[in-house]
Amino acid sequence: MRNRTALLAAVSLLAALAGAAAQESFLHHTLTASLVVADPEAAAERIAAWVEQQGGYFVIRSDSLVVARVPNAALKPLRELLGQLADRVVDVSPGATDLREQMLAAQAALSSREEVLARNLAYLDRADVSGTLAIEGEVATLMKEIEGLKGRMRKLETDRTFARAEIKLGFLEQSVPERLPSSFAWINGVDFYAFVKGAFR
Amino acid sequence: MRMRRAPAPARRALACAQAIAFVPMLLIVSCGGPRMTAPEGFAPLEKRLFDNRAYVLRAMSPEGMRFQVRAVKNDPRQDLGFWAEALRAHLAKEGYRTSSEPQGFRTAGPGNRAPLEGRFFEWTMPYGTESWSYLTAVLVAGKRILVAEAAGERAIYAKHRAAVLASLQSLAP
Repeated sequence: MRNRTALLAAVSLLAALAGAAAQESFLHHTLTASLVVADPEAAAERIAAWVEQQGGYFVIRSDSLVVARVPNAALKPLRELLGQLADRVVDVSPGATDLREQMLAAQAALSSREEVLARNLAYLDRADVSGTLAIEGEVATLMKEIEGLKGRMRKLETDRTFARAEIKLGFLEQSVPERLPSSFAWINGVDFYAFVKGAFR
Repeated sequence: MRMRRAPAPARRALACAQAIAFVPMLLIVSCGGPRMTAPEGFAPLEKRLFDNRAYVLRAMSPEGMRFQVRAVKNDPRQDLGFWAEALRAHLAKEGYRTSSEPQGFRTAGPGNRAPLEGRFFEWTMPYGTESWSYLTAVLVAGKRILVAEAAGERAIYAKHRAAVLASLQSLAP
């Protein structure tokens, strides 16, 4: 009985660790896709609306390109949506980048600058006029760098949460439909080009 | 003693027959052709009778979007499912691309007429440098097939789509 309890505890611990590892993912997911669609404008509209429904947003939207940020969990459904929209999926390239190294570097740079800033501010009380001016110049530079690094950290945090999807939309080869005879006479009279170009009074 | 009135279809047939005796060609169009309410915002154009005896009803939007309904003979006599699939398959084989799933519609059945079922398809077509929408609809009414077409540049079509669909529902063979 004691062995069984210990085993259950071990399994629970492993599951908790696995869950924590999944939450603590430092991967930035990307998806590049190239699709051939009948109507790129309609497809772009539909993708953008879907992305917003999923809690994401689009960065660029045109008839030929949609760049969107979607929650990582929506990446798989997005691929399914693209499959439905496309007449032909030319290419789908998923990718992932581990952000840990960049985050650690940014965090370390931020900490060191904050330390230097604190030290400079401490010197300020004891400095004479020229020293104060020099320290103020240094403080301004440090503040600028610190703000830049904080921005970079926020960007990396966003990259951890939101995947980036870049979807290129190509127009279906716009060849004019070929006229083929039908065995049913009235069907031969249904023709888009004849309809829009013909006399209409 | 009161005479019982003839049923409405019989009265209509009698009226047509009397009229035809006087001005045949004119009334073939008005009694024999299909009827519809033109889409809202469209100018109804004249009904025309062509050499092949096909009736055509036409309407046009201010932007030039076209809407047309014609009646053709249901020969060989088949039902809606057959003709809708025949049209869809033929246009798809020619290279037309649908922009939506086929959809059914039902006419309002004016007067004592029973409502009829129809089906329409929407296609995306290249026209010059623009993308156009093209609607084809089929409705089978006994000996006749009503074939509706509407076409316009994508944005213009989207603007008038609801009016065109409402007009389809007003069709009467």
